[in-house]
Amino acid sequence: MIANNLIRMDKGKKISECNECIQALHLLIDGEASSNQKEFLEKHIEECMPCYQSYNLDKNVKEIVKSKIEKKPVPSALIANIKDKLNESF
Amino acid sequence: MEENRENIRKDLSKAEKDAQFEKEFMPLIDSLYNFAYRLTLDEDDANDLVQETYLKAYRFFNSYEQGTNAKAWLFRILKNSFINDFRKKSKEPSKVDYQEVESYYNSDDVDESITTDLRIESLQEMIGDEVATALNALAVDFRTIIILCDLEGFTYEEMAKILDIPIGTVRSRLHRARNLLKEKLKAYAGTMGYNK
Ligand SMILES: [Zn+2]
Repeated sequence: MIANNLIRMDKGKKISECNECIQALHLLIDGEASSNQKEFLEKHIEECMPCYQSYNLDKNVKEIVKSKIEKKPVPSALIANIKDKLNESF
Repeated sequence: MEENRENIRKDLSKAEKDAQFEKEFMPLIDSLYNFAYRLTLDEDDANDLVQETYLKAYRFFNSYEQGTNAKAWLFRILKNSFINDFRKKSKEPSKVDYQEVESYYNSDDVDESITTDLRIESLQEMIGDEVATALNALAVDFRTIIILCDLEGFTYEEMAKILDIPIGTVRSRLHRARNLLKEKLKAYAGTMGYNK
């Protein structure tokens, strides 16, 4: 089905659509796309395999950064130190 | 920021001010400390930076509008402190001249295809330390925008305010940062034998 859609698309139109898509994919991934942009991007990645793959990779990179990088625990003395400093200074 | 509610603030007693400060700002210490650590890559520096941020926040509490975006406000103070006080004395080797960084964002000839052969399976096999190492290898401006967006979940508008840059620059910097991060991840996956 994807292949059929690709064939039906005019080649020149396809390239400019892909450029537009690649430039704007982050908006979709970050939830920043307007409803028009969202409609265009979702439709395009449904029909275009290379753009879908870019989207999927970038989405995964974002998720991996968020889920895999460990949070550092706040040093136990830090809060007390801040409160001391605030009391000293003000 | 548009409305001026400072008049209300003037009537606060010190105890009331302290209570508000505690309630609105102290719960954010976790995010701030992690941001500071990801910027400085040093626990002691992160400690100092967070302390300084809270002291400044207290001093400028009158210009903070209660109930607005406390997290973005504190992140902005922390980022400015980092630039003004820490970056100067930091020994970070990969420091990139700002001018050079901006010309990166503005060039359209960035090769989009370089990173397309990074496999999702390789990414998923990586452990947190490896992903962190790849992120830490980016120049600080690129690292920062990924932290703000992907780790902390700020919107583009919030990032524009925190970083004092237009939204268009947020977008292009983020785009460039992600491409660079994919290159680092791919190089890492290669050396670790993930990309077979
Ligand atoms: Zn496409």
